[in-house]
Formats: sequence, C-alpha cells, structure tokens
Amino acid sequence: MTCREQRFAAGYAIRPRLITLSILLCFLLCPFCASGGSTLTIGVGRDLYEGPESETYIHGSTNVWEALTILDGNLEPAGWLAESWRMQDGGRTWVFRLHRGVRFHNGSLLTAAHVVANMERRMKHRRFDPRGDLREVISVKAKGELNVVFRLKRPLPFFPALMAYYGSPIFHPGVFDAKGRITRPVGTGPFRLGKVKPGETIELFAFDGYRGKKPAFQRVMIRDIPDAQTRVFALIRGEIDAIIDVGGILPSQINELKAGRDIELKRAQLAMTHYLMMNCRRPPFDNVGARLWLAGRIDRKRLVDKLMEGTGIVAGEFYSPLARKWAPHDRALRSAPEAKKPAPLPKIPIVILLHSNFQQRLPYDLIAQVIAQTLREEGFEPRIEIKETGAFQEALKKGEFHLSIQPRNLLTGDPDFYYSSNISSSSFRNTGFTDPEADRLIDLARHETGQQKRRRIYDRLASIMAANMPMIPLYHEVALYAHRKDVEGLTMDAVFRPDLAAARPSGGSVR
Amino acid sequence: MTGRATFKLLALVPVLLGVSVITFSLMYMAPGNPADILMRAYEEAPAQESVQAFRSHFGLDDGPCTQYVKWLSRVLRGNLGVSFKTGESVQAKIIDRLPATLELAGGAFLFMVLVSISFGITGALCRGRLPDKGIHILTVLATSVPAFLLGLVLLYAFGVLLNVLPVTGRIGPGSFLLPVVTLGLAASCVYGRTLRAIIIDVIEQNYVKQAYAMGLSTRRIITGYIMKNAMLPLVTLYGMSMGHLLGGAVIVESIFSWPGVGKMALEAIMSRDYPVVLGYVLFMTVVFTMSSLAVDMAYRFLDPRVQEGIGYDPGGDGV
Repeated sequence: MTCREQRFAAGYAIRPRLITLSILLCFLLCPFCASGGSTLTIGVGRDLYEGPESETYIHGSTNVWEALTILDGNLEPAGWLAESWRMQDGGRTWVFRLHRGVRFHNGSLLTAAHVVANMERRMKHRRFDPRGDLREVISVKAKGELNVVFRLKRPLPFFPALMAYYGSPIFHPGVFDAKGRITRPVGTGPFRLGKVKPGETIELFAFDGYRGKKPAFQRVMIRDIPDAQTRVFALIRGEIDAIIDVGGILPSQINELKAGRDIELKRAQLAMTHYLMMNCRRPPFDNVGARLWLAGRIDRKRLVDKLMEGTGIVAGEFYSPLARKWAPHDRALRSAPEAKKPAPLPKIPIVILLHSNFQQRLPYDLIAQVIAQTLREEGFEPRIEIKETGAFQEALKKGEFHLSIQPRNLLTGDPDFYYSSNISSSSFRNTGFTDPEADRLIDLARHETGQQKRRRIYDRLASIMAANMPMIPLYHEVALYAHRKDVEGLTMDAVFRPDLAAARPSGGSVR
Repeated sequence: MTGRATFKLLALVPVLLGVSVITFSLMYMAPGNPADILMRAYEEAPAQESVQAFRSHFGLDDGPCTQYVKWLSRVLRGNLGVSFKTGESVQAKIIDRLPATLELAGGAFLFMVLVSISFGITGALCRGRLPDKGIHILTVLATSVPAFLLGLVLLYAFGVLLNVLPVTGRIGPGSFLLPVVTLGLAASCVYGRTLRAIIIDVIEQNYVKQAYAMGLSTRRIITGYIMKNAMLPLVTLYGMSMGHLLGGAVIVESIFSWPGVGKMALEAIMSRDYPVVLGYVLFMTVVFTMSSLAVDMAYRFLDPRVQEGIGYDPGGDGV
C-alpha cells in the first residue's frame, strides 16, 4: 500500500468516529431549555412537597388549595372560599357563608359539609393543626349547603383572620385516610397537582373549572434548587422563568440580577419582622434598665441602611406596619425612655444565639457582629454562637443565651398573634418576660369584641412593651423576587404566596 | 462464592446491628427533637397539643430502648418505617433517589477511573516533562479548591458564560457532566498521582525492561505488563471511593440540585427524621460492605495469584 493509500485508509477509518463523536457532543452539549409551550417554570430554595404526614401535603405557594379567608394588603381578612362572615352570640359563634359554584379539582361542588370535614380532621388529629388555630373551637357544623357555623369556647374577635390561609386549608374529604392523612391533594385552587418528584420538581396544571380568573399558563413547573447562586444562574440562563419564594434571592445578588437585561427584579414587603430577643431570666437583661439601654444603643436605621441593601424597613413598630388598622397604635416604641448603662459583668460572655438556617439568606451574623461590637465597647464580652435547628431550640429552651436574633411572622395580621405568641408568660416562645398586667391585657384583648376597646388595650400593651422592651424589633422584611421579562403579572403577597394565576406571557412573546 | 465472600456477607448482620445501635444512640442524644422541629411552620413555635399529638402518633413518648426495639422488629420484617416529615416509606424514599445517586456516582467513578489511569500513565511516561508538570499543577488545584467552589465556577463558566451546559437538575443528558466532573476531579488527580508513582516503580522492574528489549510495542507493554501490576493497589482505593461517591455527594447534589440520597440524608439529619437517617445508614453499610467485596473479587480477577492463604510479592517476576 502506498503512503497516499495508507493516509487515505487512516482518514477513512477516523472519519466515521469523528462524525459519531461530534453528534454525541452536540447531543450532550445541547443547552437545556426548561420552559417551552405554555409553561411557567419557577425555582425555589426548598421542597414545596410536604407529604401525607403534613397538614396540607403541598405548600400553599403551589396555588393548589385555598382557605376560607386570606389576608389582603392591609393584613385584613378578605373572602376567599367564604364570601362573607358574621359574628353572633357576642363573638362565640362565627358563621361563614361560602361562595356558590366553587368546584374541587375532581369536579364536585364545594359545600359546607366539606369544610366541616376538613375542620374535624384537624380537630381530631391535632398534629395537622400545628399552630393550634382550632383549639378554642367547640364544634363546627354545616347549616344548609353553604353556611359553616363555628362555636367557640370564648369570643374571638379575630377569628376570620385566624382562618386565613393556613388557618383553614380546604381539600376534598375523599382524600383523607383513616388517620387523617391526605393521600392526594384535591383542592379548589387555580392549579391542580400533576406529577411530584420529591426534592426535584412539582408539576401543576391549570384547572379549567376554576371560578376565578383562569390562569394564562396551562402548566407550572416548580423546581427545587437549594443553592442560591445556582438559582440565579438558572434564571439568567433561562432554565427557569422566575424565583419567587421567601429567601429565594439574597440581597448580595441584587446587582447581579440588575445587570441581567432580560430580568425584572421586584420587592414585596412581608408581614415578617426581625427581632433581637432578650433573655429576661438571665443577667444582665433580666434588668429592664439594661434592656432599655441596649435598645437605645442600637442604631437600627444604620443597620438597615448599611446591611440590608433595600431588603428591610426600619422597625418603628413592634410588628408589621402592613397591619394598618393596628400599626398607628403601636407608636410607643418611638418614645421609649433612655436608660443608664448597666454595670458590666466582668469576664462573663454575653451569648448572642443565631440559627444556622438563616445565615445564607439573612444578614444576622453581620447584625450580631455590630451588636457585639456595641457590647464590647461597653466592657462586655460578647460571643456569637450559630447553631443548627435542634441545638438552637435546645439552647432557647434551656435559656442558654442572652440575646438572639429571630424572625416572627404576623400570620393572622392581628396583634393578638404577636402578643399571645411572644409576650404572654404562658407562651412557648416567651424569653422570660413576665408581667401580670400584660398577661391580663392580652387575655382581655383576645376576647374583647369591641373594636375601640380593643385598640385601647393594645395601646396600653404597646406602652408596657416600650417601657420593658423584652424584644427589640430591628426591621421589617422586604422580600426579593425576580422573573424574566417575557413573563408579567407575577406577584407575591405579604405571607409570600405567589399569585400564579395572575402570571402571563408578556405582550408579543411566544411561549 | 468463596469462603471469604461468604464470611463477609455473614458478618454484615452484626455490623448492621452495631451501626444501627450507634446511630440510634447518637440521634437520640443530639439536641432537639423531631416533634418540635418538624411541627414548625413559618419558623413559628407549634402549639403544645399539636406537638404531643405528633409524639404520640410516632411513638416518640416511648423510651429510647423501646423505640429501638420496635424499629428493629419492623426492619426484621422488611419495613424500614415511614418518614416523620412526609409520611413516605423510607424504602420508597431511598429507592426513589437511588437512580439519581447511581447515575452521579457511576458517572463520577467512570470519570475518576479513566482520568486517573490517563494521568497516571501520562505522568509516568512523561516524567519530568511538561505533561507531568501540568498534571501535577492540576492535582494541586483540584485538591485545594473546595467542591462547592469548583462546582459554582464550572456552572458559571459552562452554564452562564459559554451557555453550553444546563446548570440545574437531572434533566437532559448534558446535565450530569458538570456534577460528575465536580465530584470526580479531585479524586481522579490524587489517584492519578498514586498510579504514576506505582507505574514508575513497576517500569524499573526487570520483566518490563525485558519486554522493551524484546521489541514489544509501548502499548502492549503498558497494557500487558505495567498496568496489570500497577492496578492492584489502586483497586482498593477505587472500591472504597465508590462507597463515598454513593453515600453522599451532599455538596454537589445541593449545588446542582441533584435529587440524590446525600441531600435526602442531610435534610433528614437536620430535621431529626430518625427512620430516614437509620434507613440511610443501613443502606450505606451495605454499600460499603459490597464495595469491599467487589474489591476482593476484582483482586482475584486481576491477579489469580491472590487467593485465600496464599501470599503475594509485588516485587516479584510479574505476570
């Protein structure tokens, strides 16, 4: 064989291998495009699938299920499955009237009996009522096709707010097994559940029988992307259309997203406030003077301006100002008296306790360092301890801390939620503050049906809080979310539930 | 099946028992309890009645010994229990995530073997020259850079800047390239250097010099003489690494949103989901034992001289 023939033979042998390799490479390197057709793909940092042992099987952000009421922009209860409600018997009875013509995803009509079955499920199996929303309910009955009657042990003027969102999730009772577990969620929301791959994806399909505005997107894919940076990469690349969940976008990623031509970055104020909790059972903060002194030393405006990058509003109130009906009466914080610096305790470290879960999405460690420096300048020896969930809870229970930074969500929009959960001396989360007058007022306001009288009680409570400062509100959270510009109408409410039905392709874009 | 393999399989039973006792004890002693942790919603503290209902439902009111005995009796009947968090069967959870983990671990293993052999041979044959130095620098970089940083850099370079590979999930054939490289690169480089040292030692043996003197091709000498002797020590390392790869490429799974058992295990540990943690530990024990058994069988295949009770002289006359 001549040299030319040898070369030809070699090339002839190599060529098909090269072609095969090229095809394989093209196949492997083909950029993935997550959304095609009428599909909205959302990236979140957690698995929204909760399973049969949870109260709702699937998170409310999926828009699969609805409740009797939902909080509006002022954190006031607005009708959702219920079109109206009325109080009777001095607040011991609440009657909710349902909308007519609401259908479950299986086509059956929603009736009062279905609501009763849902409430009874949670009352019988208490683990499906984690916040104890129904512990004051004596009975719940259907009156006719559309009226649900709740009988309470004592009057609860804020009961409709208590029933908002996670207070009364409604599923078709046919999905409950003998132990009260949900085998498959059949709700009334604009989307019905498709295929779930736990820890991976949740598929939703538009529900044609939805009574409200029909979703523009026929299909929604929710993808669990745990790493914050990977989520942003995926959005920039177009693998997902939106990141819309609490903590979905970090403040440090703002500039990166702003630089993206095809991305719209938005903000939503949440009903969440971040506090510096003080252990009122241990020195030095068992001394009210010490607490007031520290409250006066912390420059909250500077903290927010320097550290939050637009994701916080200085807390001038003890709870979210979105609760506009109550916020004007909580101005006592601004007139808190100055206090003398307490005597320093030599060589005893002040422990500032932080939860490791929050470190990635919230600047707690930076805030703690600022507070630690303040304490150091005054002769204290601060020490920051970051602990994982179990150790954090144990440390709180045992009181092995002096200060702790924690978030609190005003889930019902009512000040009772804040006071009963944090300030009442019988509260699970009370950090040692006891005031018989505060306890009395909390209980009084909880069951007082007169609006004006209730306001006056909360005014008085706010004054007690300002005079004692068991917890310092630092800032109210503003959540970041983003979507690509070929999607519009996507919003998130104050309890970080996205309105998926309102999302639509932008004018002119083909999806 | 050899006596040694049978012994290893039988020994698995007491090993599983011991591992489960230790794991259960550690979980029980860890601060926090599943009822409080799992009952939280929106970071709120749960109502006491609800916590108590949860504890009663899952038998958490029993003492630790009673809980362990109940769990063990279920396991002996083939039931690993249900997750405290989701209520899913633990077997189903592990089996559901196993294909993703096998894919990632298998791909990383293959990558590791191919790259380490290539690096080892190249480094040995080009000792002191540019390719060897280049591999050395790459090894230092790969072992110095943490996996999460490497993963993010690769994501940015190939996913965002060059836009040629996807950045998330187990969707599409190209999606596993970056996780495989992230997971396997450091080990590939380290094993490559190990193999290089072994090959350099084997090259100096008389039988290799004789093979060169006989005029055999380099390819024939490498495959027929050098690699057969050099691979034996590396097989042990490969076997043990398979166990680590299967167990938990937790960081890689988190960065690439890969739904594997590592991520599942981490979430279970953080939420004190005892049944899932125990199921995962049993699974990993079996994996490590099987890896060890596979290494033994690979030894027999690669070198028939390695039999039970018979010695083996690596500096001998070769095969």
